[in-house]
Amino acid sequence: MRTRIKELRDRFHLTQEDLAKKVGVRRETIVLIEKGDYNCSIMLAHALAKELKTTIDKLFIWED
Amino acid sequence: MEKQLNLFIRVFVLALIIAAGSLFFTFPGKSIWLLASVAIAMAVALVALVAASERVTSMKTGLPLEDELSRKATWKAGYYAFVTGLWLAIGIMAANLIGGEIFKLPDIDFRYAFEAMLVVPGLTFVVLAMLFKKKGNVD
Repeated sequence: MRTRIKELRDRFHLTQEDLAKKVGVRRETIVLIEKGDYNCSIMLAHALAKELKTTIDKLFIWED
Repeated sequence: MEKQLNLFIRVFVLALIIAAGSLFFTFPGKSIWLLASVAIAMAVALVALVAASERVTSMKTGLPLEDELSRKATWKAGYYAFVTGLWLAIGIMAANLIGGEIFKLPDIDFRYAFEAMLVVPGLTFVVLAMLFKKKGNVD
């Protein structure tokens, strides 16, 4: 699974730490989600999508 | 990557159990246990220091100390530690039974068994919790 978190973060000039604070997680969690190493919960995915002004299906890209 | 991590976990847990078992049979005297206890206490202190510094950094930056990933990592490490403890208990019982009945070895002192039953799962928990938090491997 790929994510567009970094791309959208850059668009809104947010650091990993800023985004972590906004959605209430540790910075390391954002790092792992961005790298595709951690599959976050639907609640966190929703919070991330909301903060990055997008939808979950546009934020996370599933590759077969 | 996941396969390598799983392999590492299995090897690590097995190494801990073998190391604890080897200590029982190789050095039954108290001196090695004092040395081992000091080494374990130092390892625990080091881990606590690292954890404390991480917490202080998080508190300074206003980030939460815990989140869903750290909670899942803690639960998964707890599960592995529990299973390690069970296998260690079975191993100690089997070693007493086989060693005593077949090889006529003296029984393992309950104090050493008790210490191992606390230390081995404890170390397993601490190391794996840190590893899972770092790697994000919690599924």
